[in-house]
Amino acid sequence: MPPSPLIDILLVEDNPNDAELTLRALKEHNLANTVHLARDGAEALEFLFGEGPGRTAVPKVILLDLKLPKVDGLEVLRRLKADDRTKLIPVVVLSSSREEPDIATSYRLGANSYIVKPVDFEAFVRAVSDVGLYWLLLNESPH
Amino acid sequence: MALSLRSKILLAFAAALAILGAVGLVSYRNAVETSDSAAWVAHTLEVRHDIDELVSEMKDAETGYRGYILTNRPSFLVPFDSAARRGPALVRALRDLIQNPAQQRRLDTLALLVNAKLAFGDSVVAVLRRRSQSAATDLVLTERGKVLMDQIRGVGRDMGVAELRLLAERTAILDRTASRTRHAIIIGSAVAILLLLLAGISVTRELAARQRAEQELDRFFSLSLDLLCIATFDGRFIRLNPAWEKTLGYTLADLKAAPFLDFVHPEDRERTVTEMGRLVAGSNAVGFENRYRCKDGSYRWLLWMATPVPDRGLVYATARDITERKEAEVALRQANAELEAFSYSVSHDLRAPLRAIDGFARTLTLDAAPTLGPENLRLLEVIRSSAKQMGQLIDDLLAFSRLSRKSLDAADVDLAALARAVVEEVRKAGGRPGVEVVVAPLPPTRGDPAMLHQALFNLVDNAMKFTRHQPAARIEIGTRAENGESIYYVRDNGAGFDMRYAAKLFGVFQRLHRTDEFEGTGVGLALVQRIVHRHGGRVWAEGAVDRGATFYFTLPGVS
Repeated sequence: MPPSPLIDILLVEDNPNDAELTLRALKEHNLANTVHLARDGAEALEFLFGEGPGRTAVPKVILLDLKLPKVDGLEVLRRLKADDRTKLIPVVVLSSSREEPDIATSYRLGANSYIVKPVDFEAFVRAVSDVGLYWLLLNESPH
Repeated sequence: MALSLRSKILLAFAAALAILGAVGLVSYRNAVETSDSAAWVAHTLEVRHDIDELVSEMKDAETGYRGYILTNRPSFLVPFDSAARRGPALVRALRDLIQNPAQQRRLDTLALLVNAKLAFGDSVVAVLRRRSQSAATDLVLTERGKVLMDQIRGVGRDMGVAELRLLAERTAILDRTASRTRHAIIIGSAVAILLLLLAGISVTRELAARQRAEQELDRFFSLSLDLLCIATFDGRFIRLNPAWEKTLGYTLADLKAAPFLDFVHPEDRERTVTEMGRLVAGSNAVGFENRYRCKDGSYRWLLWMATPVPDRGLVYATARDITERKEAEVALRQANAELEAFSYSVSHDLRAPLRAIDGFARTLTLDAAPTLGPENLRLLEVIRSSAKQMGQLIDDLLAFSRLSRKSLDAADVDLAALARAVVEEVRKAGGRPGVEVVVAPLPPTRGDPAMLHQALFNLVDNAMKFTRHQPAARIEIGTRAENGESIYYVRDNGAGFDMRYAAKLFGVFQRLHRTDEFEGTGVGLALVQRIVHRHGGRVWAEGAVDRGATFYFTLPGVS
């Protein structure tokens, strides 16, 4: 998938079911037309920092799962908050984990929100769409 | 007055010494008095002798001048002349000897008589020389000389008798004193000997007791499983018990041969030196830990209790081999870390499939509703609610396991304010404004605010849940004091429970009601129990079916 300057959301999610459900949730609120899906941390970093032309576009918001193969979510978060090109992109951690250290570390690394993925799909849709609406429509992006 | 045995013994010795001193003094005085008594006897004899001699001299004087008259030979005057010299000399000698006033007066009389007698003698001799033998004889025949002589004899006899009486009086007094002195010496000596005997017995007993105590200590010293030692301030062992050999493998001689720091793990040496410095400065070492090298090169962890004796420059210490505990701690930390990783994994991975089940069942419900019959839609709903319930179970279980790992952060807690806040939260979540909730004044306590919040939340939430079918629901949060301890309670007038199953209330996943009666996972009260236990308290419940339930708990001070 070639990167597009029109990408609004970068979704970093290794679980295809969760990815599909997230996309559905976003679609229900008409937010899914410009979503890029990265299936692990390495793919996410490749998308954000990969070599080649046309890498100027940055997503308006990143939805980041924490437990990822290859490079885990916290590492992705650390790298993109340490880079001048990406550190202003709002990052919403979407994780199954409600463990205190995960939440604390995420915020310390600069996450803008931390959302525990509920089992209840309705609640999940609400959470995802709230975040999407907030960061995409209400928040004045620095870009 | 409670005196130590030591002071009693010292006192007995001091008393015995004082008595013996007094006895010595009395004996000395007695000896002096005895010699005084002998002196008095000699004195009396001397006085009587001098008096006898004086009387005899006077007799000689009379014989002298009488013989002179009879013979007219001057050689007969020799005794008279001698008496004329010796008489006054004897009177002077007596004057020096006699101190008794009555005797002195008698001596004065005697002296006058002696002078008169000698003067009479002189006058007889003078008459004989100047006139005639018959005139002198006439003078003698006046019997003046005889009278004087008789008087001298009488006074001399009186003085002798008086002197004897005086001697008797003095001897009687001395005898009485001597008798008292003897008694004092006998009694004093007896008391002193008794005291010394008692003190001696006490000392012997005390020594025996000390010896026994020492033997006892020695036995314990040798028996102790802990490592006992005495070390000098400059860092050497001077006494060690056999446990050292058993624990470290070195002989006691090996251990005494080098500074003990040589046996301490290099990483622990600095801390050990610091701790030793504190001991030398006079404070005790409590709970200090370091590692000691064994003969085989391995190290043992030792936990120390030590106390300095500064005036002797020594440290008394006992150490416990806690190596196994330390190893267990490491193992426990590893196990905890593994458990944490496991919980994380459960938290993350177990919920994802449930989300998919719920999410796709919902998608199906929305997308295929027209083609699925109502029964199929109901089944899809069952799938969804089961997935959600399992999600809840996982969440509760994780909350429960998190609680055991979380450290307890104690702070002052206003339990009443916390209870009121919790009631508001539960009301909002449950939407039951009609329930009457009474929060009594609660004493301030110490505990982990977040944990206590969770415990109160679960109890109040429970009370709300089980009063759901009660039209006049009432919940009361209060306290009562029992044996100086505050017992907190949350009481409701809801469904209650059968006391026969009270023991099951606080078990994880234990429920006394069916899910279709009252929903729940059976973790809430287990959580409450764990929180209360973490605070060192107790939790229990009383209730009856349809008559409400009361949950009690205590929160002993947490520092």
